[in-house]
This record gives sequence, C-alpha cells and structure tokens, in this order.
Amino acid sequence: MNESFAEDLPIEIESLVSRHFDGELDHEEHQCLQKWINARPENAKAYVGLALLHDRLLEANNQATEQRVDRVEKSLKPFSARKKNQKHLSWAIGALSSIAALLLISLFVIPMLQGTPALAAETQLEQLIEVARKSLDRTYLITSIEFRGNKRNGSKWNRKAVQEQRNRRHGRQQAPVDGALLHVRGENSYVLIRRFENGDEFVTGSDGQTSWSVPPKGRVQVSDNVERFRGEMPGNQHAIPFITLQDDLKQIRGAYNIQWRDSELASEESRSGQHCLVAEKKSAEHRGPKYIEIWFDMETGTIFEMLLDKLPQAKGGPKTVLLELLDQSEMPDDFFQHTTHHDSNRRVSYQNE
Amino acid sequence: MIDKQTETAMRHWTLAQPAVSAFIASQVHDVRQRDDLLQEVAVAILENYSRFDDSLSFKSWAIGIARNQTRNYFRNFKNKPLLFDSETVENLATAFADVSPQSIEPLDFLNECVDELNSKAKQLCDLRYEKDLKPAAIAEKLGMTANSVSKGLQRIRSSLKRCIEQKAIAGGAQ
Repeated sequence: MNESFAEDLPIEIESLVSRHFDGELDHEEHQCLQKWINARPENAKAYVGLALLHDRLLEANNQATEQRVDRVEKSLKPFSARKKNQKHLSWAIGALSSIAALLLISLFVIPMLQGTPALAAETQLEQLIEVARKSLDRTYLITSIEFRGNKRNGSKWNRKAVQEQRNRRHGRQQAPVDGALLHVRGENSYVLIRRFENGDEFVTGSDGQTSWSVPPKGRVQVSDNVERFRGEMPGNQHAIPFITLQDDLKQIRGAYNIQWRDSELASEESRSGQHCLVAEKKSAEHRGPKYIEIWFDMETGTIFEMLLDKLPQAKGGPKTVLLELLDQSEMPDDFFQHTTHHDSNRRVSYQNE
Repeated sequence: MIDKQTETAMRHWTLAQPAVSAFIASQVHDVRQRDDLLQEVAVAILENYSRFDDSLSFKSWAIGIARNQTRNYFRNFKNKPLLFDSETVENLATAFADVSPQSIEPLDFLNECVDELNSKAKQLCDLRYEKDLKPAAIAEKLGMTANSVSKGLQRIRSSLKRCIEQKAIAGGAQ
C-alpha cells in the first residue's frame, strides 16, 4: 500500500467528522468542521478517507438489507395479496422508465436461458438481438401497486405537491400512467395510452421513424426525433432506453443478478406451468428498479406478468409497478402512427430536430 | 451492440464511482437520496460523455457533475439546508478527485473488519448502517444515551479504519 487510507486525526476532530456522518452536528459545529476542512488540503484529504469508509459501510449494508427485505417480503406476501393493495394513484413519469429494464431482460434473458449455453458470447448476443427484433406485438396493462410513503424525506411530498399545483395552474395535469396501456412492437415501436379521470386519453408513441404526442386537446405534435416524446415512455430517464435494445443489452445484463425463483414459492402462488425469473440490481450505480420478477411460460417464452419493485424515487412515483400481458394479437400496420389516434381535423405540428 | 464510447465511459465510471458516491454521501445524509443522486450522475455522465475532454481527469469531471446534481438537489429542497458552503465543497471536490485507486483498495477489507467487531459494536453498526437509525433512535432502542451511541460509533469507525490499514499493510507485505 503506497499511501495511508486515512490519516490519524485529533480525537475531537474525529468526533466532529463522525457525528457529521450521523447527521448530529448543529450549525456551529458544522462551521467548525468546515473551518478545519478548509484550513489545509491534508485535512480535506483526511476527511475524504473517513467519508470513503462511511460510504462503503452504507453501500454494503444497503445492498444486504435490500436483498434480505426483498426475500422476506416475497416469501410472506403472495402475489395475489399484493394485487389487492393496488392504489390508483397518478405517478411521475420517471418511475415508469424502469419498465425498460424489465422488458429488456424479458426479451433477452429468457431466450438466453433457454438457449445453448456453449454459444460464443458474441454469437449469442446477436441471436438475442435477433429475437428482440422479431418480437411480436404485445399489449400490457400498467398498474402502480404501492406508493412509497417517504417518511425519511417529507420534503419530497412538498416538492411533488408544488409541482402538481403548478401543472394544474398551467392546465397540463399529468396523465396517470397507472391503468395505462402499453403496446410494443419489436425494438422501436410503441404506443402508450394514458387516461385521465374524466375519460380523456393522452397518447404518445413512435412508429420507429418519428415520435408523436396526441394530447386530449390542442395540437398533435410529431417529431423526427424518435426520442422526443419518450418522457412518458419506459426507459427515458434511466439510461436504459426502451427503444435502443441492442445498445443497452450489455448494460442490463451487467447490472442485475438473475436467478430462478424458488419453485416452491411459485407453486404456492398457484402458478403451475409458469416460471419466474428474479433479477436483483447489483448496485446503486445502475439505474432501474432494484428487484424484478418475470413470470413466463417456459415452452413458448410468453411473458405473463412483470413486476418492478423498489423503483428509483428521485423524481417521485410509485415504489412498485406491475405489467400484465393482456393481449398478443397483431396490431394493424398503422397502429403505431399518430393518425390512428386522432381525428383527421386535428392540427398537427411537425418538429425537425 | 454497445458502442466504444459508452464502453469507455462505463469503464471510467466504474473506477470513479466510489469517490463520487462518497462525495455525494458527504453532503446528502439520506441514503435513498444518495442512491438516486448517484444514479442521476451516472446517467448524466453517459449522456454527456462525448463532451468529456479525455486529456483531463475523468474523476474530476464526474465529481463536477456530481457537484452540480447535488446543488440542484438542494435547490429543489429549499427547506433542506446545505451542509457545506461553496469553499468547502470546492476543497472537498478537489480532495475526492485526488483519491487514488491505491487509497480505495484497502476498503475491500471492510467486511472482514466488520466481522471482527465485538457483538456490541456489531449491533451498533447494524443499527446505524443496516437499519439506518440515527444515534438518538439507537439510544432509545438500546437504553443508552445518544451521546454514548455517538461515541460508540466514532470508536467503531476509528477501529475499522485501523483494521483496514493493518490488513492492507499485511496484504501488501505478503
């Protein structure tokens, strides 16, 4: 070892730093700590040594806890019971984006597990991408199961309330994604249909060439940037874009530990014939939900249900999201074009980016 | 297929992540918020990597991004006071950017060192880090005073630091 991990500090400074990590310092003590840090670069360096230790302790226990809680929760709480707890709450766009991770895993990992393990990685990757390209039309119902009561940070509620108030004021209340229908085709086409309480629909989508947004009123917007309206789409804010499957395959595969779910648990939940894959995020540095369940038919590879749990909460939203496969019927060819989702007399605004 | 640039960015990020994470944790005490901010930083890095001048230090660049994200975080939560003034954040950013891989490596001994703590210390460590309890809550749980819990945690950190150093030296000598 070439350098000391962290310098020895005077006991009173060590106490100050330690209590700072516990959030125990008052204003005056913080001033004192700052004064010490700023006095010499060596002091800042010594602080950094302890901060690295503190952060590693947080990280180690954070992961261990998440995994343990998940296991206990899943063991004690049958899937059907979770569904009874559904709360119909509108939620922020950010949370939805994690669905991308799930869909990617479902598209890639399941075929991978069913395939020949001896294939070279590159070949296998190409085959998986091919499977994704050929994937059929699918329609999912999206449900937010539980909103995370954020006891740790009450201000998050305040921020959300303020934002909602602003949105209402400007007449652009966010359409709820809870209860939305998500139609996907292949690797780059989707239609997301969200419904307001009064029955109005807000539809966004992409045909792979353009993206578009059809609000209940006002102009229809079309952009040559396929990412333009993906604010509402799974994957937009999680660096796991829903559409660019190939680019993110490696990232997804690297970010999660994937294993089969205990078959005993599966049978307790009366899901004979269905298998379940469980994916747990390896560390906080990766985006997306911390826990994912994928229920599917082993023979056909058909995915029936997908559960995203412990979604990132930086931008609000639900803790848990469920996607249920409703239909696999082929959609009409023009379904992924905006014209199918509005009257022909609506004004359309085109954006070239 | 993942492109070369993203792959390079991810490789850089993997090396810089411990320092960036600790930099955020030094200013944001809520673990969940720290996690979320860290994710925001990772995304910002991937999205903006094309702007990174690779003749400069990636870690400094990443910490600069973390600094901006953390500043925005406090701007959004106006009732949350900033822990450090800009001068201190600047000095810390410089110190975190200077963290070398050699100074992080010893932390790999942390789990071993935690295992070697006595049962009381381990319990305190669990309650603080696993249950995410503050000293006052731990004190209530264990029938201690908050002050003695704080002192206990300070001793644990100090002892873990020593243990890690000793193991790193012993490991290096082998």
